[in-house]
Amino acid sequence: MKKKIMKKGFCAGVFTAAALMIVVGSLYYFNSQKVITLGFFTGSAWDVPDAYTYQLIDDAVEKFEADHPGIKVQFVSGIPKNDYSEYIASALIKGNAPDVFFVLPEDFSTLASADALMELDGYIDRDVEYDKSRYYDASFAFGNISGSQYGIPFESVPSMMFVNKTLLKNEGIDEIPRDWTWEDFYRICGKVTKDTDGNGIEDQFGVCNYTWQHAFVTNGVVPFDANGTRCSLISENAIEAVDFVKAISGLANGNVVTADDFDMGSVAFMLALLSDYRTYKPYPWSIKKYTNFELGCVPLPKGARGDNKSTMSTLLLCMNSRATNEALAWELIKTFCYDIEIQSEIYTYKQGASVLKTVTDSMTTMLSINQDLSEEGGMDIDLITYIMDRAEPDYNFREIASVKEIIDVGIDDIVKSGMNSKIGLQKIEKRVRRFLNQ
Amino acid sequence: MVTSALKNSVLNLIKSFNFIIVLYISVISAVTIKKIGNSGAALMFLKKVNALPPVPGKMLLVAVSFFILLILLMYIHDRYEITHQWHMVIAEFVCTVLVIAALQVNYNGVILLFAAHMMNYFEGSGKRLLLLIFGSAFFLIFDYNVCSNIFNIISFETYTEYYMGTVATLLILVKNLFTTLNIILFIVYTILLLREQMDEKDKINSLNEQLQAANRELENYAAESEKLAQTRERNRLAREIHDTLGHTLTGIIAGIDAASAVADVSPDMLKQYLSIVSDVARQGMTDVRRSVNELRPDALEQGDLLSAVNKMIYQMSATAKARITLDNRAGKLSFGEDEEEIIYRIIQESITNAIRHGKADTVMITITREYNVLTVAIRDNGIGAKNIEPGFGITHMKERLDLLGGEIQIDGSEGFSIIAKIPLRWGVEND
Repeated sequence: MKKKIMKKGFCAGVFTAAALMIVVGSLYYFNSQKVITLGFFTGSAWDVPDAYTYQLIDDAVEKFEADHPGIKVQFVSGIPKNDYSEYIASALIKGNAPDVFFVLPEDFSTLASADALMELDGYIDRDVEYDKSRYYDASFAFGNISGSQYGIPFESVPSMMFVNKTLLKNEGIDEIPRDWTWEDFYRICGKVTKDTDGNGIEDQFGVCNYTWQHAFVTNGVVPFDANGTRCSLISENAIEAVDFVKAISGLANGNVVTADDFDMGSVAFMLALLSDYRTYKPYPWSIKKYTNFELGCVPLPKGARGDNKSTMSTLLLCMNSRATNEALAWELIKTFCYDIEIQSEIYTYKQGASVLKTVTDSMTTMLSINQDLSEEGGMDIDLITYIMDRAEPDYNFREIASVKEIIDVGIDDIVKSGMNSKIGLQKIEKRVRRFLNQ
Repeated sequence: MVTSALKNSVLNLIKSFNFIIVLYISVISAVTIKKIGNSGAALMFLKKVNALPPVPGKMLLVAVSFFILLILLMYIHDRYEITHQWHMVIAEFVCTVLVIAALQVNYNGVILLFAAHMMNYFEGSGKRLLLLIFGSAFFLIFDYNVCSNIFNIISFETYTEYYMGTVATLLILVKNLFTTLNIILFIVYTILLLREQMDEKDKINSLNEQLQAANRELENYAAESEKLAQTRERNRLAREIHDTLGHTLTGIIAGIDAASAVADVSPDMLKQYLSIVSDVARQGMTDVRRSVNELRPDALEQGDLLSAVNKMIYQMSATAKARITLDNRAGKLSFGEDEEEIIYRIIQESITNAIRHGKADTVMITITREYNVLTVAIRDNGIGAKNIEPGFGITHMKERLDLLGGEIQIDGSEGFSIIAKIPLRWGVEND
């Protein structure tokens, strides 16, 4: 009898414990459902001063919370860009990373390869109101690795050519057309490289920061396949590109031309990013850096076999592969990356370009009405559209940084030693292949 | 016995040893993951791996929980001796796989524990060989180098790379040492298992020899007892001859002597004596016939037991003027030859006793059967007997029944009743 009662008591105890666990568990679950976490950094992804990080974030969060009542976006603020990569990696390892977080271009392949990012193709396909063709191809393609979309573009920054308009005017050179060529480029560089003060030392130069990457992209060289498993550097296009780099560097006569020289006004061209342009170009709320000359910008000059293309890096918004509420996370990503209002704010608060074509179009309309802004601001949206349409996404396979270094060293060697470009490229290709096969 | 105890303690040792290894790997991994997360080496670490490391606490919890569950299942399996239950095998296997998965295939020795435990339930060398083959196959499949090609997992060595040279080497060394020791323990266990199996074989062999010896003794005993039965039968025959032929012949001799003494004196007396001699001879003849009948029941040879008994009852009730009834509730009576003869003899002896000694005029015979015990009850309304002195007939019945392992109950208080219980051999009844 006693045993029976005890058994009954035991059963009741187990039942109560189970019920309690279900109640507590579901409470926890439903509560946790109401919060979605966001990871971002302060400052610019492209190392330019950025004073307005929070405006855009706050607006987007406010909009998201208004559209999804009862759901709160939580975030840790104040993580500087330089600490951000480690912050996210550490949070991922410890298992407390945000559901949605920004991913710097240089970290993207690492995080995707480490299985930290959610594959988003399902959401893209299922979401009927989501149309990926609204993005610039190069922006969207950067979030894709081996056919799977791991990130949605938020902000893109293409490379472009800064022009010292004052210097060119002084040298009697006309406005540079958008579809200018390597020959034009080479000719102008040759013309401006000279000794202006007559001390026997050249003090005015053609270009700085121009590398093989820019020559490759403007002459249709495709050095790798998308997965970074194969490398082929031997082609007419590539040989021409290296020859061109050699020629351009040869014009400087062994002088090392730096960005400082450009800032001082003694260099005609400099390879730079859109973010630099938008930050330093005189604009009501920007910093005025170039005071002693008028700064302009043009697309990169094209080679005989290429187009006026640019390399482009993109800041992505990604979902944690361990996100607790994927559907809401996707909605938050869309608020940042697909909402026209929020994307428009990139032109107000950020230094890059919106990844949505529609936003750029509407900006053109807006600016055409407000002529003042267009002229003084120099925010030539039309030029940005031109460059963005022709941009090539950066390679995003895991070994790209090391591979680029190998090629850097190799090309530098070719330029300095004057080695035959084809032979040099063969050497580099061998080295890269050996590295990739490791 | 000693081997078996040793074997079980080795199995327990394997269990505790595996627990230590599971704990070691999950604790070191978890602590290292946590350290990497806090030390600013997180991005560097992610650059080396193809998967996110498991959440530190979770890995430890999952691995240890499933291991404890596995041990619990093994305990239940042993405690309630659940054999031939596939769901038990599957449950334990699933637990094993989950422990290995939780450790990201950095340790697969749990399979050896699983195999060692299961060998207790796979008897016969064929099944055990099969288990061993399966176990080895899984041991090879659940290998880090194999699995890392299919799944994105992080090796224990990658975690240890976080530490400085000596510490990393030491951590890996300890893990390898543990793994090797576990394999050695498993081999020891297998050897002990084989030895136990061999011991069992030896035991079976010695038991077999004992059985053969007992069988030989039994044969000797049977031969002896046959001889004994022959002697006994001979004695009975001698007594029968003495009792019947001896008496008769003595009577006849005496009668003829008397007759020859009076032959010349009185022909009437002679006739009278000769008539007596004739009567004695006739009586002798009857006795001899009865004896011969008792020796060889012809009726039994000609038909089945029931018809033989019926015939005997008919003859006896005719000569003795007694009412003899048979109530057979045992169905068809068809048994072994010796069994039939003994049943026949008991009935015959009882009726003879009832008529000869009990002066009964009614005899009731009941035959019943319960499972394999046949009960034959013979009751009469005769004078009975206050003290039953085991006379010749009853002793004889007892002896006969003993041969079949049966028993007999005799009660002489009200009339006379004999109840014989005969255990029957299986398998003959349906012939």
